[in-house]
Amino acid sequence: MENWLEYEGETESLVISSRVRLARNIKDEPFPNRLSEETARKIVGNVENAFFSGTGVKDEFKSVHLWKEDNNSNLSFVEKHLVSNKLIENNSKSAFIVNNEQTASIMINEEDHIRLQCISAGFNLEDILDYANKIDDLIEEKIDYAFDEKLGYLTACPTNIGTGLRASVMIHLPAITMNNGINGILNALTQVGMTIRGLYGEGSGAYSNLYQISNQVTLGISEKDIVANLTAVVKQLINQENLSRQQATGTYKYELQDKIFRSLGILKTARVIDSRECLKLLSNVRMGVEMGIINNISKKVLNYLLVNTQPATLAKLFDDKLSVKELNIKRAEYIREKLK
Amino acid sequence: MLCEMCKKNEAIFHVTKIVNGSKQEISLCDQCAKNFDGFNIANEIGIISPFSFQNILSGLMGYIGEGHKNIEDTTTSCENCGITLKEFKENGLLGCDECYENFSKTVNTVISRVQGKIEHVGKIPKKCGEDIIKKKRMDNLKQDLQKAIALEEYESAAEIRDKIRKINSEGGKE
Repeated sequence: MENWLEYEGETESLVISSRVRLARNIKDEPFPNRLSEETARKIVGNVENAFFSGTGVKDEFKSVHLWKEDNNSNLSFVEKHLVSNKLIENNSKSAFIVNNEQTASIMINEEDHIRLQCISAGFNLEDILDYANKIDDLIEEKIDYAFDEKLGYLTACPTNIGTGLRASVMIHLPAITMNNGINGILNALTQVGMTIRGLYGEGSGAYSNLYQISNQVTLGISEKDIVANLTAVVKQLINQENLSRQQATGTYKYELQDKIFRSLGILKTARVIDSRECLKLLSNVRMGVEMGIINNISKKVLNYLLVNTQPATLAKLFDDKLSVKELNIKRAEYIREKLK
Repeated sequence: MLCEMCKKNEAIFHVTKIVNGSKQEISLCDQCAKNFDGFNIANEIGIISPFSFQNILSGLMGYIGEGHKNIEDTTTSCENCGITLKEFKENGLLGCDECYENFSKTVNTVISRVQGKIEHVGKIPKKCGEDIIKKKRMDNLKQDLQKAIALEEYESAAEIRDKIRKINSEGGKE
């Protein structure tokens, strides 16, 4: 497992990160939406005790209680993909345990008592599932899960029941987006129990061109099969995206290069830039790097720019009390510095 | 106060709209205000993502409710956590693990519609699922035995029978 931000691997890879999430609940306790603050925090303590009693985890993992953190810190955890929005909404009751590399996090009192998430650079869902299963087994030694013979792991929402597994892959699809192909993909994926959505909330894929492909069906299919199916589908998408790029290069070689280098030019010189424009330009530059048109910018720089130019993380880097206008100036400054 | 559109930034614009005496208010951050072209959007704030799962689920359940007689009444509540079926319909979340038992008719209908299948075939927890693992292994062996007999492969059938006997003598059951 490798932190996706630090990824220096193959520049032509379109997959940014792969993620596995397991939903688990504790037997005989009401689900988090029915918990009082007091009981919820007691559950946080119980999960921590169960987890940290394992050998060798104390040095590698630490626990963060959201009710002790300020709002910008919490949002920044979301922007780094460490935790979900839902966990932040429950911040009076919720916590998470995270490893030093920031590749594994155990969210406590999200929609379910335990949401175990492992995220790694590159395209390797099977390894990540193995790792997640190990942590799951470790917790299960000390905690009795809500499990039904027929329905599998019981979750607050019936869409996660069974395996409780949601596997997803974050992928960059600018050429398919340009050809208005995303809706077609959505239709096809729905038929095989999977879905696609824009990375930064609903519909935002249109400017960041980053999408998350994930399984929808969690019951009646084994963990291995879910991961194998998703892997197969993502491989097809990669082929389709590369094909679209080749076609675009064939017909509009100079226009495409122009778009990529103009985007880089703006990022290197702009004085005020909002997060939406930033996402769009970063996508163009990323495509340039993936296609070998730009050679002197690493994926790592692009990944850090992607996260650190998000509003809450950016505000944390500079000053929490900046207005949106001041943030736009700081964002431009930060990007210029990183792309020097 | 947070912006009501993106729910991320601080709201600094407050828009008020009065139509035929009914008043609507919305607070926006400057980014959303920039993209806020006209007042009509205010009506749609509640359905910015009409395809969220909860919306689909409650629609689905409303639909199931009309045709099916054998569904629990919406005022039924779970004995363990107290949540009512109406609350589940509204937000799509159950209150505890026993809800699956107490609302089984409704929940099973929902599960078969959203998941397509209703039988778990994946991981089983090692500790609290120990009996289930044994039982599933036994079921599989019995199935294999039937298959072997049907195919007249009596040698392998005998092997499977011995395995079953061994497990039974260990467990002391049956």
